[in-house]
Amino acid sequence: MTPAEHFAAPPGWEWWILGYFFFGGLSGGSYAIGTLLRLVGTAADQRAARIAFIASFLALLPCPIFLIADLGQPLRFVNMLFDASNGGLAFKPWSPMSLGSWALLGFGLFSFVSFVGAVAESGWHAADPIARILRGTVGAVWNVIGTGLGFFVGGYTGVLLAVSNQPVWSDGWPLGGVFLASSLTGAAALLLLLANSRRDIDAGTTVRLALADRNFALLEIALIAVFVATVALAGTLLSLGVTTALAFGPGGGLLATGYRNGMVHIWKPGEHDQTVGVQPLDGQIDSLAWGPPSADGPLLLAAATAAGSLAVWVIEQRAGNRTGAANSAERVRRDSGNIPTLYLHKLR
Amino acid sequence: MGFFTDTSICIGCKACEVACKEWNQLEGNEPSLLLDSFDNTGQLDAQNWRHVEFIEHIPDNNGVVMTPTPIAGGQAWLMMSDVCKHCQNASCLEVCPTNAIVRTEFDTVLIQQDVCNGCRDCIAACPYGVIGFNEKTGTAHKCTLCYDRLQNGMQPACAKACPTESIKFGYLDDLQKVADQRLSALQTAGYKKAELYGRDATVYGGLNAFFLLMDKPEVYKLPNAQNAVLPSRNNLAGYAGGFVTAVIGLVAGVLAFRSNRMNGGTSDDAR
Repeated sequence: MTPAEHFAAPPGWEWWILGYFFFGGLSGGSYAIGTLLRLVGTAADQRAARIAFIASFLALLPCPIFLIADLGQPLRFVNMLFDASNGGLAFKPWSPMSLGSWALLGFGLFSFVSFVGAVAESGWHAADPIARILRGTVGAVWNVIGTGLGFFVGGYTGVLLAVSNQPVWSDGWPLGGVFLASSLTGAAALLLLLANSRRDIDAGTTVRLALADRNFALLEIALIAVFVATVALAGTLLSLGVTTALAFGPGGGLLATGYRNGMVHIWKPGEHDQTVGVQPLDGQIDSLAWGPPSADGPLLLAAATAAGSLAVWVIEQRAGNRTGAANSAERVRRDSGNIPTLYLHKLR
Repeated sequence: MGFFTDTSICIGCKACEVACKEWNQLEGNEPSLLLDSFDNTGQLDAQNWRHVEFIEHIPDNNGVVMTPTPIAGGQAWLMMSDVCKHCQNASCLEVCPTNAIVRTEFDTVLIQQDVCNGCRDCIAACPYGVIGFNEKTGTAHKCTLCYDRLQNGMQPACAKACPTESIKFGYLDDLQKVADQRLSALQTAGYKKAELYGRDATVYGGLNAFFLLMDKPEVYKLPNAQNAVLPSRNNLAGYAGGFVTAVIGLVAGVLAFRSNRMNGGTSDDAR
């Protein structure tokens, strides 16, 4: 597989966008936790649920401001929703930024109404009718849809970064999941902070929030590991880059280099195809050694890896002094001693 | 319509850059010297819609060519007038949330300046680093393939100015024929590594501005066919990963919030 290679320019998304990712994540995560507390929590959890819905809307407020401030033409923010060239809707489901703009709008509505309901329950009786509607089945449905949108707002930002041609971002698909898990972790931590600062929150609620926070953090750690693994597999991390062993051949005509990922290359200065790739071994190449010089016989190259493998290549120099590509890998001996595996390779 | 840029006859005079800036009234960036290179333009961006790239395979102070090239005994100056590729499947057009980026009646890719709101998603998407952000207009800019000149029956400024006809402008069919002839002539002459980039559909469905290269695409900072991928490749897996995470997150949350009910939790009349 060819390692991923990128020549894209950076988009220059800086503090406004970072701020949006942070507050958008807190908002979406808080709404989801509010819904969980409301639908599966105890009666004592309901105070915390109200705090979650209020926190969700307050965290959402700076988001559109940050996003609009980041635009080069802030007054054209409506172009995200309406196509300025034909007056129709600007809706491209395959563009995360387009989909996210609509999701943010929809989530804003759900978060606002739930906020008003929570404020009413906290004692602002002018909004009691809304609180009453949100209490029944309608309220449960409202919370579930709002949670879906909240999850989307928390996670699509990661997908947006991946749906690009930027190095690292676009080399791993789990970024959406990482952002979503992070929004849950951050929101749980925020609610825990708020709960601890208030006396009217049930101690059991605090314990359950801490437990949820731990669960979310474990999920986030696992996803970060998966993300790093996918980026490594794409070849952006831990690729050839690091040379761990070098050896000049007899007479200095050839140079062998070993790499961290177990690859060995033979270089022949002055030739077009100066590298001769050799099959990777199981682990970092720790040392390389050439066999004694011989007038016209085959050259020997040996490599030892950190994993304990030893490999020997027989390199036949053809007329015209060209080295060729590796063509066969033969395992000749397997031993359980100090040298677990001996590979014998032949180059023509 | 499109460009065929034949790098084998580019002499690095930068007339294309000058003509482009003149016609499109680009101010240019602050001058800078890249010290050991004749390439002092640096990159394509909002002010540079043509960029003559210099790839200098020349001996260093010890007489060693660090990255030998396949032609001329390993030593060569490769020059290439880089430009927006006007891809058939364009990454920038794909992600643009405002529909500011469109395909024109000339089959070129254009950023409508009165629609663009400067979100810069296209910059993150373009695999060639072509698009730049102009602080003054607050919008994204790139080569328009001289849209205004085309509408008035003129050829793009860079192609008109190019003294060696390294930059050729015309209908794609004609350009492809010329390119095929030129490639076979070069290969007959022994330039085995010469290749066409973007002439067929292997790179973004074909490039309306395609190239004849004297070395591998990567040498010219162009992704090879395996790495020429669209941003949308990550849509499905990205959202699926998010969905699975949401489900696991919900389960994790339900487990946490139900945990104390059995042993001494308060009564269960929620709400």
